[in-house]
Amino acid sequence: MTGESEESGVREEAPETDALAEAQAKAEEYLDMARRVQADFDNYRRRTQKENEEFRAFATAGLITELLTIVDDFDRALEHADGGEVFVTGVRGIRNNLMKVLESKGLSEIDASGRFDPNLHEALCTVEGEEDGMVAEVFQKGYRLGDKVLRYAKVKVTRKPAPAAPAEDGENDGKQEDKEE
Amino acid sequence: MSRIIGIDLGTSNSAASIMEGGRPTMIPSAEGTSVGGKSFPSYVAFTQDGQLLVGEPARRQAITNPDGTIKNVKRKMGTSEKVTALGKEYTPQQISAFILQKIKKDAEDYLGETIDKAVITAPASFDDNQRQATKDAGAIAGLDVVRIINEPTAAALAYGLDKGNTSQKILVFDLGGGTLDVTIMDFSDGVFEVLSTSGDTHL
Repeated sequence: MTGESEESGVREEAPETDALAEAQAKAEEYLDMARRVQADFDNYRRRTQKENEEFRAFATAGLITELLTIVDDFDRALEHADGGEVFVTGVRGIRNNLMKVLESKGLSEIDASGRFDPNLHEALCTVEGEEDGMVAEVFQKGYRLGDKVLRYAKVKVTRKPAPAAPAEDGENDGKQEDKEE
Repeated sequence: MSRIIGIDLGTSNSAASIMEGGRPTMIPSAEGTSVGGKSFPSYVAFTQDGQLLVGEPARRQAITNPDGTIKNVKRKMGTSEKVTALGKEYTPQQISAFILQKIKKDAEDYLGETIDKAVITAPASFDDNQRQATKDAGAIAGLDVVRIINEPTAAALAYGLDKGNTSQKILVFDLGGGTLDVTIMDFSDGVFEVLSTSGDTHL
């Protein structure tokens, strides 16, 4: 934004060198601009290509995410269906068929047994347990589409109760105040 | 011809962008599916098994690891307070640097080039200490912070309010995750001047 045409003071003494310098400065400016545009464009092309590929792979992600709630409903219905053997078999069949369709589009369930993994699971609460950081209960199953996590598994995680004698309390005051969400 | 990224280092959420073809473009967080779209929560966590987590993964494990998880560290920037995670003390600058490092890495992956310069925004209400602490955090993260600019000024620039060449008064209302900032600025002769700023620093 600095004006390069405001060097009129020098112009009287050496008009030619001045004009040359000005032209050179301009040329450099344009060259720099061209380089920038070229770099921007290269980046843009590369990224657009990547985004296109991603779009193709995940175009259905939104729809599938919404359908997952229905899969959940099936699971709940089945959990609470007493007796009615035929009905249960039927509903289970529907559930499995729906899952088969979704799996054919690349959907897979996230394993939520064993150790808690923040890259796959979201911890909603904790419960005392023998060991730290194990998944104790799954509230909502998690799913992947391809290798991308569509929905993280919402889980309850174990915490080993602290040994009876708590360490010095005074040190922790920095952290405890940030309780709000 | 190294490029400069712009960073919103927020209390609750952080994000970065870059000028491309004369327009700002958001740099998406590597985790993709964060609640805040392309931004990510300003969480840093140290796990029992020695991992460092930043952003969404840190937030997802926060409840299982309250002693190792740090959030809202921006509130402590510029103070001599330390934060403790798993018994180890860190300065607010160090924790902010972890967030900035993640941004740097995400930006480099996204752009396919090394990034070592950044502009970071700070609340209009930040004093010199807080601004210096923000710069220091950048330096720790390997970023040359070429400028700290006021958040409301950045917002006004994003809307191109500096392009109109007209003198005007601007009110910026910024309802964030952790703070509310309302700022009145005067724009004239290409310069933004903060006339007044207020709000709630602890939502």
